[in-house]
Amino acid sequence: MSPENIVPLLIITPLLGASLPLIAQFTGRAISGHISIVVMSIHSALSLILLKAMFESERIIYEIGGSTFGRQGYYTVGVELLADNLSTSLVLLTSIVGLTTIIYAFKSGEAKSTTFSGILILLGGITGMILTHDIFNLFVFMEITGIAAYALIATGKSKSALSSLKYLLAGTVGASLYLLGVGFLYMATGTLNMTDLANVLSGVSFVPNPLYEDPLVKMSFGLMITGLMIKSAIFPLHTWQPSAYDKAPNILTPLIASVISTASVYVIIRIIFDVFTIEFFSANPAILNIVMLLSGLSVIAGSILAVTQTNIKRILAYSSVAQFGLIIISMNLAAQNPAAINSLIGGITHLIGHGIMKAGLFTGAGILIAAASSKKLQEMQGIGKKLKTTPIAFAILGIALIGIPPSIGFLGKWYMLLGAIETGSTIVTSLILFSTLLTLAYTAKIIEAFYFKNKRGNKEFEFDNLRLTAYIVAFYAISAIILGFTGTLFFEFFEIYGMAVLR
Amino acid sequence: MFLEIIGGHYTYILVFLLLAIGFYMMAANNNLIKKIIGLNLFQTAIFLFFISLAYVGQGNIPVVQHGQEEILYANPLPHVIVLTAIVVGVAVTAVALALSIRIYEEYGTLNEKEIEEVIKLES
Repeated sequence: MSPENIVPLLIITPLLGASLPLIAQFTGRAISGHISIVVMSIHSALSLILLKAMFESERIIYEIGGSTFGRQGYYTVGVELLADNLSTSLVLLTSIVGLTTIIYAFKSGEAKSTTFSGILILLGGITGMILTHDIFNLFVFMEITGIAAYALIATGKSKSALSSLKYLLAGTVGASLYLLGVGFLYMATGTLNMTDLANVLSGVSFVPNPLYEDPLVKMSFGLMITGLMIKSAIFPLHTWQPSAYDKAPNILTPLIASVISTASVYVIIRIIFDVFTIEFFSANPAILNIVMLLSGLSVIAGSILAVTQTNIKRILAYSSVAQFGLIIISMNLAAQNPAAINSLIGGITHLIGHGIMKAGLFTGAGILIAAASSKKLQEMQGIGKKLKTTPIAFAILGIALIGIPPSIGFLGKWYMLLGAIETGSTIVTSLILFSTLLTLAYTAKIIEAFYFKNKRGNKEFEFDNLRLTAYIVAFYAISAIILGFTGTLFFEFFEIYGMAVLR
Repeated sequence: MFLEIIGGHYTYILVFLLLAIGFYMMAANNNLIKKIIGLNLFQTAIFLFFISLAYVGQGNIPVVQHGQEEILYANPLPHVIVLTAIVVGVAVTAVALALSIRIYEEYGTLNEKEIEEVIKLES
C-alpha cells in the first residue's frame, strides 16, 4: 500500500469502526471490546507505516476527490490532507493512547459498547484534526471530537453531567470563535486551504501585495487563537478543564487528558506557522504579546493551583494547564524570533512528551483510585508499600514530567530552555525554571504520599485483576525514559519541519 | 460617508449585535436552558455572518446553464459552510439538552446558583 493512500484511511478506520461495537451489541455477545482493539491496532499499524514513510519523503499531500478537483493556477478546490513529520508523529501518539485506553476500558469491565463507539469517534475526529490541511474541515473535525468528548465525560458516575455541560458551553464558544475567524480569513483571501492561505497572505500569488496589514486578517488571527486557547485550556480560559478531567470516568481520562488538548495546541502551531507564517508576526510584532502574557500566566497559575490541590486527578489536570502554557509560550518565542528553532522543536517535543506522560499518569491514577476507592491523595498514603508496579511507574512518570534526565520531559524542557536562552528572553527562561520547580513540588507531594507516609484508617486497599493495566502504566514509564535517549533523533526529525516554517 | 458605511454594512452590524446578545445571555443567565439558547443565538449570528459575506449585488443563484458564459452569481462556498455548521450546531444542541435532562434528574433544578447550593449541602 502506498503511503498516500494511508492518509485518508487513518481517518476512515476509526470513524467506520465506531459503528461496529454498536452492531456487535445486537449479536448478544460481548465482543465490542475485542473489535475496538482490532480497529485501533490497524490504526496504530497504519500510522507506524506512515511514520516510516516520513523518513523518506518530507510531506505527503492527499487530495480528496483526486487530482481532477485541483485546477492549475487557481485555488485548490476540495479538501486536502497533509502528512508531514509533525502531523504523523501526533497521529501515532493519538493511536497508541487510543489503543491503551481501549485496552484499559476493556479490562476494567466498566465500558459498554456505546463507550467504545464514542472512543473510536473521538479518535477519528482527532486524527482528522491533525491530518487536515483545510481550516474549515478542521472546525468540523474539532466539533466531532468535542461532541464525542462531551458524551464520554457524561458517562461518569456522579455529577459528571454538569462538568460536561460546562465543557460543552466553553468548547462550543471556542469552536464558534474559531469559525468566525475562518469567516474573516475567507473574506480577506477567498480560500480555506492552508498552503493557499499562506501564499495569499504573503502576496506570493493571487494578490499583488501582502495582506498582513489588513484589519480583517489581524482580527481573524485574534479570533482563531482565542477560540483555540479556550479549547486547549489556557489560563484564564481553563475553568472548564479541571472539573471535566476530574468527573470523567477514570477509564477515559487518559484519552481525554492527553490527546484532546494536545490536538488543539497542535492546531495552534499549524495556525501560527503554516497559515499566518512568521512574516505576519514580524509585520505585526505586538499581536503575540497578549498570547504570551496569557500563556505565561497559565504557567504560573496552573503550577500554583496544582500544588494546592488534594485530588490526584485535579493535580494532574492543573499541571496540564501549566505545561500547555509552557509549550505555547515557546511557540510564540519561535514565531517572534526565527532564529529560535530550538524553542519550536522543544515545544513540539514537550507536546508529544506531555501526551505520553499524561496518558501514563492518568491511567496510573485510575488504577490507584480504584485501589484506594477515593480520589483524595490522603487516602492513598502508603499505597506504594502494597501495590508494586503502578506506584513505581507513576513515580517515574512524575519524575519525567519534572524534567530529570534521561526522560522525554527533560528533552522538551532542555530544548525550550536552550531556545529561551539563545533569544535572550529572561522572562521565558525564568518561567521554565519556575515551572520546573513547582512541578517538583506537586510530584514530590504525590511520591511522598505513596512511599513515605503511613496508611490512615483501617480500610485495606482493594486488589483486583488489573495486572494488564498496570503494565500499560509501566509501558508509558519505559517509553518516557527510552525516548529520553533519542534526543538527536527527535531534533533531526522535527528540524525538517522547523526549517520549513522558520525560513 | 458615515451613512454609506452603515448602509453597506448594516448586516454585519446586526450580526455582531446578535453575537453580543447571545454571548451576554450565556454569561449572565443562571438558567442552563437559557444558556443553551444563548449559545444557539451566538452560533446563528456566525451563520448569518457567513451568509452575508457570500452576498453579491445583483447576483443570481450559482447555477450555470449550458451554453451560458459569464453570469454574476452569489458565492456558493459560504452557503455550504453554513449548512455543515448548522448540522454541527444541531448536534451540539442535542447533546446539551440531553445533558440538561441528566442535570435536572440529579439536582432537581436547572438554576446554576441552586445547583451550587445543592452541591454544598451534599458535601
